[in-house]
Amino acid sequence: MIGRGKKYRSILYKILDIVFIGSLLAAGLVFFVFFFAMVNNGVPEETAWKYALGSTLFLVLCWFVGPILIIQLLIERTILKPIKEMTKLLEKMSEGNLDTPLEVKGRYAEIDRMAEAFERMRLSLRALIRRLKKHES
Amino acid sequence: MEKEGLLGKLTAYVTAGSLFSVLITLGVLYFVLNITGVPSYKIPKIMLFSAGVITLAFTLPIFFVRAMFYKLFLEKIDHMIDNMDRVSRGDLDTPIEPETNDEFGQMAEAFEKMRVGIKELISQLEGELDRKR
Repeated sequence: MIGRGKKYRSILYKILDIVFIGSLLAAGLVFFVFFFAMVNNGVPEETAWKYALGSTLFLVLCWFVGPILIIQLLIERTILKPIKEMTKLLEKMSEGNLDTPLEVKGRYAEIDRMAEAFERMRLSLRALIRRLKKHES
Repeated sequence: MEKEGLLGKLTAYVTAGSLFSVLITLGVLYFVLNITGVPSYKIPKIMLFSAGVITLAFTLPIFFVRAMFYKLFLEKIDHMIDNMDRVSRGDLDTPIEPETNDEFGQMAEAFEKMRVGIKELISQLEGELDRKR
């Protein structure tokens, strides 16, 4: 698409970065809790180390795979789909085609408000241009 | 009918997710303590302490996630709505600047293209109208 030398990067990757950092921090914390819980209670250090590492890896896998799938799906469905729809429609409108209505069924208040504002804008622009064309003929 | 906001929904999901994570973590901890042969009378105390630490560590980020989400999505949606309202009031002269390089930035670029295109169309129509007079 268009772009002024800037590289396009989906917002999902930004969220993924945050989830990744969060998971690392949580993993560190959990590792320490597990390790000291065992060492302070008479488990030899080598065994404690092994078990703490193993369970931390298992847990990170659980947190990491779950949130990624859920977040991707939710945000893709609720926010990005309407945004992409509007982008496509805006491209069409820039060529002067103002008659295509926006088909977004928003389930949430914010998306709904945005779709309403979009339709309002489209209709007022269309009315403006129609008025001009009518004067002309 | 008032629809629910995105932020409330997200908070509910994240809270449920972190409580679930806390439960899984404590389950694994219990399991590990059992198989490494920690004396069983000590386990409840350890579990209680770890539960406190882990719950605190997992529920505090919810506020951070809310702030993040607001910054990444809701602020931009509000900004976009402002732009749309301005255009629908007939102001086609203020340029729309894309702030980021994600989907919202793309939308702002398409918006800007649309604004320029419509403005050109209108000035063209007005020009023809003037010529006729």
